[in-house]
Amino acid sequence: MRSRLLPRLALRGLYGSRRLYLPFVLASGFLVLVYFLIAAFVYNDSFAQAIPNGGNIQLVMSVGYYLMPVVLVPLLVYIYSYLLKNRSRELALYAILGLERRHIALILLIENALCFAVCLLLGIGAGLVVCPFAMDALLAALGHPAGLHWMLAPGAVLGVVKVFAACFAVLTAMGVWRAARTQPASLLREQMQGEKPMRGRLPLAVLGAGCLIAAYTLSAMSSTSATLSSFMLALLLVILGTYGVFTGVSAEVLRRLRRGRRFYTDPSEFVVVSGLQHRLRKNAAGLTNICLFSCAALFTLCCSFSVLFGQGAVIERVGQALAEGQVGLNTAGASAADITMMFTTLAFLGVFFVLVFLACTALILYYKQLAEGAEDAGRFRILRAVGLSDVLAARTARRQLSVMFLMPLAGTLLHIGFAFPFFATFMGLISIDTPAVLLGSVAAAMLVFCAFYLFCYKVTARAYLRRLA
Amino acid sequence: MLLSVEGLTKEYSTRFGARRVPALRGVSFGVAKGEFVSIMGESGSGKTTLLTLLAALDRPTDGRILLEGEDLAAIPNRALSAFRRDRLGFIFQDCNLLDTLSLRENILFPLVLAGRPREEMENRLLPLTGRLGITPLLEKYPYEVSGGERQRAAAARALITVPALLLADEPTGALDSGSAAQLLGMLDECNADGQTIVMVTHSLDAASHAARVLFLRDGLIADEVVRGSQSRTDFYPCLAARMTALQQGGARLA
Repeated sequence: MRSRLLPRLALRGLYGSRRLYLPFVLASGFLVLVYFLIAAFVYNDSFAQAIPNGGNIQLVMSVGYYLMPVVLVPLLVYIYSYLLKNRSRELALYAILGLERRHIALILLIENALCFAVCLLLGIGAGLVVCPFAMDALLAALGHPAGLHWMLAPGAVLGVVKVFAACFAVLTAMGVWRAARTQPASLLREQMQGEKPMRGRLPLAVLGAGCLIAAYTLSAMSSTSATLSSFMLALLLVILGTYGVFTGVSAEVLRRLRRGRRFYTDPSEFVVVSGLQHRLRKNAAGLTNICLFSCAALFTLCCSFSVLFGQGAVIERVGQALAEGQVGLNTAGASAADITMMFTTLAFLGVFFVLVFLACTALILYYKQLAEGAEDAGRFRILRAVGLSDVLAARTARRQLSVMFLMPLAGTLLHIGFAFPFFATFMGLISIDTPAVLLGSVAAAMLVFCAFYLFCYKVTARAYLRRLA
Repeated sequence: MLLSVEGLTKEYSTRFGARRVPALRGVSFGVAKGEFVSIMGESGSGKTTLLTLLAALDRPTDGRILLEGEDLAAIPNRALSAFRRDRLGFIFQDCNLLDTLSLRENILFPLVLAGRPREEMENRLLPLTGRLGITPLLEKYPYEVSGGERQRAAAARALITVPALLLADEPTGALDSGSAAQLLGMLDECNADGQTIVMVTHSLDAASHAARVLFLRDGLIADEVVRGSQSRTDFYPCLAARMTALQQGGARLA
């Protein structure tokens, strides 16, 4: 094997699937940027000189610095598995053309090393530009003049490099393992697998709904008995319940529609219902994941907003308490400025996490649309050949798509709505308990999130429709 | 003539339009109502292009196609799919049944698209599937039945609209010989009932079912053989001889 062949194949592979890799590299670059900002805050010692007790900013940020990798690795692994799924045919072709597994592994290694380098350069490059603004923004939020002395700390860069090198190492290992496990012939055999109407729809639907009701009840009772374990239990129930409802309820509803009178009289209903029945069943897990990512993003956004909106009231109350000589339980010994700093920094950190969750949600939506488009292309080719007009094809494709992708959004809004008592209890721990603030921030977060999700959906739907054409 | 094709030419341009590759170079023929015509040719002879044009899936570079006197080029794009649905029936090599639909739903699909009433659907469905022997399989899904049964379901889908012209593209290509014979027998029956059929194939056996065979070569009709009163067993060697002659002496035609 000539040594220059593999790098060339790797480059060709990247270029050939640039529709997959470009968003991946850009999004990874964005994750690098966000993590670099957190690291830059952690490693910036001049906060302590600029603001009294400024070291606390570093302290709060370092929570994010250590927590973020825990979130990043599973997110990237999940995203990368989508990317690999979209590329599996190409890898199978390599195997059939006679490349050994170690060659394929080497190709993946080269590709990922390149992606790693590019996203690191992009992210840190953008970070250098954005960082002063982010720090000034924090200072401004704290009521201090801008113009903090800031220098690039080698430790921050090193921290980012280490974390993302580890992430990409995990991804490469995963790719190699996948490539080693695939049977080339089965990958190339392009066969749409049909399936019978699912058995056990009703039990699954009932079980799913039961899980959700239990989780919502736990949330509703949280004001009296909130513990971390009850939150965790509710989280687990929501995951199971969402999956059950997405699979069971949708299958049952579609089955009824299929039995209904309109099925045979309305062509678009005929195409959409039969298509969705297949798609939803295959994608229940994927849609559940999109819903859960969205929930994480939205919940964090709610927290950030309520901290930003609610800190004024807390400070006022602490001021009163200090004046009256009594000291609150949660705020013992804290000065108003300190609390503001803690909260504002927390809100900033929250926003960083929200950005990460949102970027991942957007990317997963995109890959999901691409995969859907590829799978539906064959179906719509047949439908057109049999006489489905292009207009009707486009309309039904859109309708099918909107049902699929608006389901996770509806689920997210519902979950977060019912999680409100949990959220209120949670925020109560840091003395943010004004109902107006809590409700207002949830409403604002929902609006912002809906706008973002719908925007992403519209943009990524183009990827789907392009595959169909 | 039910179908007349006049001087049909189709050129494909290469990616940057630098070179134009002719796929059809002036093909003319006619098909009478109730006729069973087969078009034979090697791969690359222009068979698929011809069928694509007949199906109005693409527009010719030059020449005309008239179906029942109507020029296909005169049909506006938005009316094309309705035209295909109502006037033409297709049988493809790989069936093209949708795995998400049962056989019944697959077969009824063109009628659903056409917005026909439910009673009409049922009235048309059972006689047709009875003749094709797939009535007991109607609630099954395509992957649950054999290749031959799938292809018969595809034939039912093509015939349910009572098309003026049935276009078959290599319909026996993916079938074992038993299923192929069964399907061809069914086409014979349909033809006997008055269905006009144009079938593209490279199988001599399949072509020998037709009343007339056109040989397509390098985008031109190189030869034409009429079965006349011969039986199928007599027609087959005749076709084979013609094809061999064409392949050996064909260099001058190109």
